[in-house]
Amino acid sequence: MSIKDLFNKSDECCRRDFVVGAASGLLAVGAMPVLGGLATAQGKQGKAKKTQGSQKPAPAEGQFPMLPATAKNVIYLYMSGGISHLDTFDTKPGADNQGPIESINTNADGVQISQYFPELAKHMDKVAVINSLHSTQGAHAQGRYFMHTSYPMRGTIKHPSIGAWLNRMAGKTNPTLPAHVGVGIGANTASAGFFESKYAPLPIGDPKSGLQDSHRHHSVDGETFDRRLAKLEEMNRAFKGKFNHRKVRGYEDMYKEAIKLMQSDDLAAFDIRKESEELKAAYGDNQFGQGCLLARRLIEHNVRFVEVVSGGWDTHTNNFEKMEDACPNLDQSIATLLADLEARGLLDETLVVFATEFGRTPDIVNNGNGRNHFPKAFSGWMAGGGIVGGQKYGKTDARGAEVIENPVAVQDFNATIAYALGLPLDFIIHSPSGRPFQVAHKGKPVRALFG
Amino acid sequence: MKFHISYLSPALILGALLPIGSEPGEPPTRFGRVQVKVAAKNIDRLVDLDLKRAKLKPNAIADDATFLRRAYVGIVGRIPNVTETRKFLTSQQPEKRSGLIDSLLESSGHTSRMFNYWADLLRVKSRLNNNISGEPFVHFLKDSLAANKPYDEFVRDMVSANGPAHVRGNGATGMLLRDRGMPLDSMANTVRVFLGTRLECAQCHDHPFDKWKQKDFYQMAAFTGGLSYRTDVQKQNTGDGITQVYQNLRRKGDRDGLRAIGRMMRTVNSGVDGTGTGKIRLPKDYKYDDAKPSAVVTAHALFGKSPKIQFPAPPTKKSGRRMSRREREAERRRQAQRSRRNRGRSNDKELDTRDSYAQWMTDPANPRFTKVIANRMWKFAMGRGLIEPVDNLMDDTEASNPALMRQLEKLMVSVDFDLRQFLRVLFNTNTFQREAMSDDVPSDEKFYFQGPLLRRMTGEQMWDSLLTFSMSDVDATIQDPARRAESVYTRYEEMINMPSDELAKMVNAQKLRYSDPKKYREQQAAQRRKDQRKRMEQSRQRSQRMAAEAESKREKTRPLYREYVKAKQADDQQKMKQIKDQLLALGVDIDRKPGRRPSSRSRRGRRGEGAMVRASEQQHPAPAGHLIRKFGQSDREQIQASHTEANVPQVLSLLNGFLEDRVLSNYSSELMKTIYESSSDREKIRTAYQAVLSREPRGRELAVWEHEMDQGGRKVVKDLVWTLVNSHEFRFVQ
Repeated sequence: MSIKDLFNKSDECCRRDFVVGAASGLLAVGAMPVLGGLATAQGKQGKAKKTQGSQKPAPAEGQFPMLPATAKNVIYLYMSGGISHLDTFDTKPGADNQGPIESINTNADGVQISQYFPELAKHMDKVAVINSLHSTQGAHAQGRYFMHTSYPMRGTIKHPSIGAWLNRMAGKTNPTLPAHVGVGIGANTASAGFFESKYAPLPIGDPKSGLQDSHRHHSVDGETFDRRLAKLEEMNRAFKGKFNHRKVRGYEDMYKEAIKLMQSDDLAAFDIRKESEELKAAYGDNQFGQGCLLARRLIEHNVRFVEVVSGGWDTHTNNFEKMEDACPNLDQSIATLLADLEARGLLDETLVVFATEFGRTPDIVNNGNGRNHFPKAFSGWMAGGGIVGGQKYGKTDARGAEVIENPVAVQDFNATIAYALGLPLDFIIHSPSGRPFQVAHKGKPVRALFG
Repeated sequence: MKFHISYLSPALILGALLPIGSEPGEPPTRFGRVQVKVAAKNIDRLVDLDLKRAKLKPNAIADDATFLRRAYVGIVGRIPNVTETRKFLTSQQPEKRSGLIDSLLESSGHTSRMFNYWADLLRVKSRLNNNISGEPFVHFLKDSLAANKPYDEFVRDMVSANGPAHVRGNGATGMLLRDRGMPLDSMANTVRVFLGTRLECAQCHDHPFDKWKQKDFYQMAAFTGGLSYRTDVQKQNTGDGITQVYQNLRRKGDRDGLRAIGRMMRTVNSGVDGTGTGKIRLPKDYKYDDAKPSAVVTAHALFGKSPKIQFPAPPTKKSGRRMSRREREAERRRQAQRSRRNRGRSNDKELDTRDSYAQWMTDPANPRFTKVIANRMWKFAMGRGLIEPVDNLMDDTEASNPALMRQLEKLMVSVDFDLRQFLRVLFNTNTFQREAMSDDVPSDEKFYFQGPLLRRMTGEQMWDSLLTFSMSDVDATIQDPARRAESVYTRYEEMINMPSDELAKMVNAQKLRYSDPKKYREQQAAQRRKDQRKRMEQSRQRSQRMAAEAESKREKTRPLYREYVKAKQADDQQKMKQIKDQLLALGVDIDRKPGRRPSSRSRRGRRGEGAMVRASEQQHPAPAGHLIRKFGQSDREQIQASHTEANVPQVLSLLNGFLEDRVLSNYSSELMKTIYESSSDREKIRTAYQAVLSREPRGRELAVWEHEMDQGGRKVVKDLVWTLVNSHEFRFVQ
C-alpha cells in the first residue's frame, strides 16, 4: 500500500472512527506522541451524533432520485452589481427613459436587443430571454444571495447556492476534478451554505493563471512528497483529536481534494494556455472573457457547474458611459462562448445561464445619467441544454417598470435550472439544526422555455 | 462656506483634540495598570458568574506558548518570530503577559492589524470606480489608528467629512465616497456598521422583520439630504485654467470636449459636497399611508433623542412681511435658474445636519453606538460577540450575558472610546487567557465563554505570519501611509494649477475617445506599446550600466582577493583583516556566503504575490489570485465579507507553491538561514517549532525528527518546516 493510498484511506477513519482507526494501526506509522486527546475525542463523538437530530439522513451524493434531465452541466454567467435590463435585453425603442441606446434586430425573428450586443445578436436563435424576472431584494448582498440560493438572507443560517445543491445531490461526473468551480466569485454568491465545505465552489481568482500550484514543486520528488504527507498526517492527528471542529474537518477534506486533483489526468482543464491564441483573443483579453474560456474547458472535462462573474454593473452614475464602455467586451465574450460551445457540440448538453441580482430603474436619475437598483422587473436568459432559443418570455410595460405578462420569480428561475438538470425539486434536505430546505425553494420551472 | 476647517488643517485639529498615543510600553496614567487589572477582574467575575449558574467550568489558563501565539496573532496580526518566541518563553519577569500586551498594543504591528480589521468593515479599496483613488482614505485610517484617535471622534470625522477627496488631509471623505452616487445605500451601510442596525430593507419597503418603516429610513436619510459626490471646481480655489476651458467648451457647444474634460476632472471634483439640508423627498412610488409619494420628509433620528434642526422660515422680505405673489414668482424663477445651473443639486439650504447626525450617532447616550463597538471589540478578542450577529440589533435583542454587556459598555465610556485601552483590558482578562474551546459552538446556541474560540488565521494574518519566515523584521515593511498616497495629492495639485492652454491640449487629445472610439483605442494600444518599449530599453540600459559598474568593481577587487588568499594561506591575520577592510570599503563583504545577499528581487514576489510587505501595505484588496485573497481576504464589495473557510487553492499554495518558493527553497529566507546555522539537529528542530508553532517541540516530536535527521540528513529540515506549516496547528490559533 503506498503512502498516498494510506493518506486517502486515513481520512475516512479520522472523522468518525478516529479511535478505531488509530488503534487498528492503519495510521501507526511511527505513532505520534500526543494521544492524550483521545479521551476528549471520544467524549465529543457522542455529542456530535446527538446534534444530528432525528431526521432521516439525506442520501449520499449521487443517490438522490433524479429526474430526466435536458442538460448535464451549467455555465452560469453572473453580472454582479445588477445589470440594466432596459439597456441590454429589454430595450424600449422610442421610450422617453431609454436614453441614447438604440435597439437592433437579431437573427431571431422579433427579438430585439441593445445596440451594444451586435455579436450576440448573431446567436439569439439559441437564447431564450426572460424579461419578466422579479426579485424581492433591492440591496446587493441580499440580492446576490437570493439569486444564488433562492432564499432570503438570514442571520442564523447560510443557504447553499444552486451549484452546491447540484453537487450535493448529483455528485461528480469526473471523480478527480471538483464538481463546482467559481471564477471571480465574491461573498454572498456561490457557497456550500450549511452543506459541508467540500460542496463549495473551488474559487479561481485569475482565469489566466488557472489553478496555481497544482503540480508538485519542481524541486520535490514524488518520494519526498509522499514522505511529507505521511508526516503531516502524523502531525495533525493530535490536533484533530482535540478539536472537533467543522473547519478542521474542512481542511481534512480539502487536502484530500487537492491531492486528488494533483494526480488527475484532467488537470489541464484548468490551463487555458493550452488554447490557441486566436481563440483566446476571440474570447476577449479580460477576466470575464478568459473566465468563459476556462468555463468551457472545465465543462468539456465534466465539471458540472461553473460560475463566471462579471463585475461593475452597478451603474448609479454615468450609466450610459459605463454601458458603452463595458458592453462590447461582454458581447464579444458571450457570443464567442456560445459559438464555441456549439462548434464543439457541447451546447446541447450545457445550460448557459445569464443572471444578475436585479435590474435598474426605468427612470434616469442622479444628474440625468444614472440608474438605481430595481428589483421589480429585470431580465436574464438561458441558452443550450434543452432550451428553445429565439424566444422572449414574459413582458414588462412600455417603460420597463412593471411585469405585465408571465412573471418569473427568482425561485422559478432557479427551479428552471434545477429542472433542466433533473434535480428533484421537492426533495427535502435538513440543515444540521434540523430545518427543512429544498433546491429552488418551491419555485416552479418555466417549462415554456423547453422544447 | 462649506469649507470645513477640519480638512483645511487636519494636523492642527489632530494636535489640538487628540490625546496623542501614550509612550510605548506605558499605559496612559489616567487608566494605569491597576485600573486595567480591576476592570479585567470585573469582566472575569461576570463571565464566571454566568458559567456557575449554568453549572459549567471555565477552561484552564492556557500555557505561555499558547498565550504568546494568541496575543501576537490577535494584537499585531502575525505569529511571533523565533527571537520573540524565545524571549517571551524564557522571560522570568513577573507579569510578563501584561507587559507583552502593552508593548504589542503600542507597536506599528497593531496599527496594521487594526487597519485590516477596519478595511474589511469599511470595504476599503485602493481604487474606487471612475478612477477615483482610495489611497487618501487608507491614509486617513492608518493615521487615525496609529494616533489611537478615540473611536467616537473617528466615526464623527468620517460621517461629517466634507470637501474634495484628493486634497491633503481630507481622506475621511473616503467612507462616504465608497458609496458614491448611492446616498441611500451609504446611509444603510453607515447605520449598519456603527449602530448595528439593518435598514437596507426599509430603503424600498417597510422592513419585514424589524419595526422600521420606509419612512423611518427616509427620515434618517434626510440628515444627509443634498449630499453630492462632486465638489464644485469653483469652490476649490482653483486657478482659472479649468473654469476657462470649461467655459470655452460650453460656448462652442463641444459635446465631446465636455465629456472628455468631465472624465479628466473626476480627480479634481470628486469628493463630498453638502453638509446636509435635513430634507429629502420620498420616492415617487411610495405606497404607504403615512405620507404621500414624493413628499418632502425632514430629518428625524431612528431612536434616542433626535437632534433639533432649525429650518429657516419661509422666504420673507426684509421688512418681515410675506412676499406678494409677484415676488414669489420672481423668487421661484430665480430658484429654477439656480437649479438648472446646479443640475441634480438640492436647492435647500445647507444646515450642517450631517454634523448633528454624527453628534447624535456618537453620543454615549445613543442606545446602540457604545453597545455595538463594545460588542465588536469583545468579538475581536474572543472570537464571538455577546450579541450575534453583531450588526442586526433589534429592540428585543438581548446579549447572551446582559450584565457583562452592560459592564463592557460602561468600560467603553469610561475609557472615552479609547479602543486600545479597551482591548488592553480584554486581553488582560482570564477569559482571554484561557485554553480555547475544543468544540464547535453552534451560532444559534448560547456560548458561555469558557475560553476563546478556536480560530483560523485570517487571510492577512496568514500572509503576515508566512512573511516572518522570510525576513527578520516583518513590521519594518509597514510604511508611512503618506508616502503611498503622495502621488494622488500631487496629481490633484497639478490638475488644479494647470494652465488653461495645457489643459485644453489634453482635452483635445482625449476627445478622440468620443469622436472616434476605434482610433482612440488603437492610439492607446500604440502608446502602451511605446511605453513598454521605452521601459524595456530603460531596463536594458540599466542592466548594462550595472554590469559595467560590477566589472569595474571586480577589476579593483580581484587583486585584493588574490592577496587575501595568499594571506590566508600564510595565516597572516593582520594582513587578512587589512584586505577585508579594503574590500568592505569597496562594498564587498568577503565573509558573506554567496547567494545570501537579499537582492531586491527577493523582496518582490516572483509569483504574482507582489512585494513582500505586510498585508496592510499591499493593494486593497490584494489581487484576486493573491495568497491573502485565497485565504479569505474580502473582495471589499460588502461589509465584513472576509472568510476563514478551507478551499483547494490555499491548500495547493502550501503544498506546492508559495511555501516552497519563498521559504524552503529560498536561501535568503530568514527562517531557513537560522535553522541551518543552528548548532545541532536538536537545535534545528527546536528553532523550527519555535518559529512556526511558537512552542518547544514535545519530547516525542523531538525524538521522531532527530531520528529522521539522523537518517535523512539536511533535506529533512525542509520536510520538517513543510510539515509544520501545513499542519492544522499552524493555521488555527488556539
